Amino acid sequence: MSNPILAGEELKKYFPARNGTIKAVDDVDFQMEKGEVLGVVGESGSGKTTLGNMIMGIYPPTAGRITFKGEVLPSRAKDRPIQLRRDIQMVFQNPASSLNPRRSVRQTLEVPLTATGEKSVRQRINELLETVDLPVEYADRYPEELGGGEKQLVAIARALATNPSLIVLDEPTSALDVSIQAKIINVLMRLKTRLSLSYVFITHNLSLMRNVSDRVMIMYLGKVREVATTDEFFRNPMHPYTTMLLSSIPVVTEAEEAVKPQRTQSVGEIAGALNLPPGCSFNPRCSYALDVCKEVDPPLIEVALGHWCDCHLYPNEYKKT
Amino acid sequence: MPLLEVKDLRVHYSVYEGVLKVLNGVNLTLEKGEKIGIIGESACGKTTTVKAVMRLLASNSIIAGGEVKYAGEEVLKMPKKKLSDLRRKKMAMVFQDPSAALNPVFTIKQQLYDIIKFSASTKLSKEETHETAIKYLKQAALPEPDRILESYPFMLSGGMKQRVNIAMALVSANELLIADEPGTSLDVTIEDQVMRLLKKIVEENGISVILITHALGTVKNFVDRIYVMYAGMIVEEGPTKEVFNNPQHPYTQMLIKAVPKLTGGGVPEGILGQVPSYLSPPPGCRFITRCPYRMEVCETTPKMYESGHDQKAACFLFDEGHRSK
Amino acid sequence: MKSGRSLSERYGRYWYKFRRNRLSLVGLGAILAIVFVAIFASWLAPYPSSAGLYVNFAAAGQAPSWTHIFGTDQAGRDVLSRVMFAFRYSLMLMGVVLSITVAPGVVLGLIAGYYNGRRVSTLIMRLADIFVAVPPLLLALSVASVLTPSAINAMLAVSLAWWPWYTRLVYSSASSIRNEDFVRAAELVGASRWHIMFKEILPNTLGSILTKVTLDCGWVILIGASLSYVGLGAQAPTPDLGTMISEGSRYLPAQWWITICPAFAIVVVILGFNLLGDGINDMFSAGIT
Repeated sequence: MSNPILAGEELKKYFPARNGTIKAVDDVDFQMEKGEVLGVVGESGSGKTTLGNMIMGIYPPTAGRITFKGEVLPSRAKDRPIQLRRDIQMVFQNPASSLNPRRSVRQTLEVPLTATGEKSVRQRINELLETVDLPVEYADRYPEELGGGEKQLVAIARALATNPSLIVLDEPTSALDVSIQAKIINVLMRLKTRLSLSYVFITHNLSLMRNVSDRVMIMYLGKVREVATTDEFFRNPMHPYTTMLLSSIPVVTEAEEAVKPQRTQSVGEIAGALNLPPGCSFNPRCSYALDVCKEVDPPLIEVALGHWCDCHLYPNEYKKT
Repeated sequence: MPLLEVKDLRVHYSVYEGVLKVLNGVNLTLEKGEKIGIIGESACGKTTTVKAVMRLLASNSIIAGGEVKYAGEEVLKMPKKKLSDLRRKKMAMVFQDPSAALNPVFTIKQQLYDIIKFSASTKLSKEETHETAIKYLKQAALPEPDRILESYPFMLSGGMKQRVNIAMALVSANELLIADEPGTSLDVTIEDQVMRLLKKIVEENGISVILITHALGTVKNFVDRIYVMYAGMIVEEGPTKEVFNNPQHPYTQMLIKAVPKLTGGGVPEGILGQVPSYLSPPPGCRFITRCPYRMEVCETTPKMYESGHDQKAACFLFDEGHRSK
Repeated sequence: MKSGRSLSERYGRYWYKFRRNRLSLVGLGAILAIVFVAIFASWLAPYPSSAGLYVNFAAAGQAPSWTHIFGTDQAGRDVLSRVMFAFRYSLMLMGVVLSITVAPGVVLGLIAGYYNGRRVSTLIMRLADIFVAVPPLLLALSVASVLTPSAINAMLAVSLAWWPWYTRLVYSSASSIRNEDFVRAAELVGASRWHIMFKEILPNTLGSILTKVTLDCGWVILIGASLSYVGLGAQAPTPDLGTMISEGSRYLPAQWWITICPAFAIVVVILGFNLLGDGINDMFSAGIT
């Protein structure tokens, strides 16, 4: 990929714990084009939220680096120049805790605007509310008077206030009802086109990913297991964890049931991130585990054009002609 | 005789702004050994309904009408002692947050033993209590039950805690198990395991189940019949397969369409509009503000009309006198 | 920015939560009555001269009656009037102590919470620990006995013992609120430290601060009375609840009213503030809407 807007190289984030180290993110490489939606999919312990936090500068990486628009990002948010900080914004998972309950919508939206001495704040606030399809009267409401979806729209308006180029969305609709989720996603997609935004879309919902992202990246216990364009990914899922995920998704129509892998069923617990088993960390749950899987951690290799997988079942790198 | 009958239940809540008229005449029945699901979005009244069944409503609730009959006996006015027996021996509930139902400062052993003691009809010896505990933990597919007994809740993963909750519920739920969003806070691969396990257990033991959720996919593989709720009313009921493949009520149709599909198809449309306020709900059908098929008659309350295959929908579209479809 | 909300809309919900508990209303009523009495003591007291230098041995030692509801003391002064004026001193003590200690205590707690994990925070909290480790009455006694016994010194002494509790309270809230998403979001858009501490974190701690202030009103009065009891507070002839109890204890059990009535007044004050504090706590709790 030439000129990715965001790229991570050999990213590691280790947290020291009482009896060992928690390897939240373990040697992750990724790249993202401008205007793309990169879906980062994983369950708890996958490291997806930690990855998002590293991009935002909330956690500095233990190793590796992140480049944004070609320049290396300083690890901590406070070391980044203000303009840079405002260029990358985040929308959090829980709408209830992402807005200060003691501040009105107007006061919440003022913060990003007054931080750079913006004039005509009031007008700008109205514009932002209109951009996310909220009535301007909402400016004087407090979070307790808003529904979950409306709160999330305010959070999106806040993220847009600084005119960012990249937004990290950490499970933005997981806490919302299905009908509201659809509305929020529609707003997000419309804004992406209109404002030329790029999204890092973190979620565990593969059905959503199918319809929203351009590329999908699957993470499990701190490592990237599979990356591919959405179409390629759903046409040809490779990694055993991916097939396990796909088979576990609750779906609604018969057509979807037919698409799910039938033979793999979810077994086992997600291992604690502390004291991971040797070799491939998925091997205790993998029904295809080979002997080598218990000893050697597989590398992430490009197995087909644009389709990367780290699994001993696919050891051959794609030969570019 | 059905195990549980809810007839025309009306429940209101008294709050600062006034009275929230949440449940507006809810009817449902549950036969012995049957599994039903109540699906609906947040604040549609599904939790209120089951709380009324178990008489766990908040102090500011008002039962404005209707009745709940368990095995033929009225529940809402049941004397405390009888209700207590019912809760100890016949029904139990599994809640959404696996950590919230477990006391963090006690071991699983202490909590499970307490439940076994309270629901037993006779006094059990220490060995008997222990054996019973192990039996239920094994039934919930928990590995190394002895180690689990000695653990504190924080030592267990979300999926394991939820299985412990299921084990605890099974101790007293000989007849009825109510599960309120049991898989929502679990990871999707773990939720899948837990739900499959729960299904196996209830089918093996002939326990009747009410499963409440807003996740359409979860309920589809689990229950025999579905009730769809919107703003405090049941809008559709029927066998699971039929409701999903052939939804009758406009709300059900729009709800299913709003779920992103694994097979693709782009970002779905949401449902335009908002849930009506419970303070001043529309007098008739509460879906009137968002329904593309609304007619004048919808300002009166619809009954449940037969439609589709063994389905019923609360919509005038299916009323003989107003057929326009 | 003109807001679209009227005061009653914004704060009506708080009042609703407060008045749900009858006892909170009782507390509010009691405290309002006491404050009213303290302010207008000169007009309300049946025998205002009893509050000053006044001696009338003919009327000394009379039991409670319709003319003297709390009886008269050993110098012939009307106990009820003295109690009314004594409320002034108590409320003044409470007002001064809390206005000196709450603000600094809260600010230090905010700083310690915001910088949790850094040296500043540890420094502040250990300093607070030092003052907390000494029993407040003992600390107040030591300070008051080194300086000349007087009202002001009593207040000073009590203040020294009081501020660290606010720091602790606010530190514990602030250090967890600090990690909430909305604080993160404010940091990410470039909000200053001061904005975060005072505009994001502080409003969310107000509930517990106000509750504590209310409960403390009662406690400060009690400690103040204890200081006066051992002679370290207001000096004679200024009427003061603690001094009255102390002097009157000599006349127990025969002329019980000289001690018991002021003691009863203290009980009412503290109970009133406690009930009021309960109500304030309810106001801020996320409860039944």
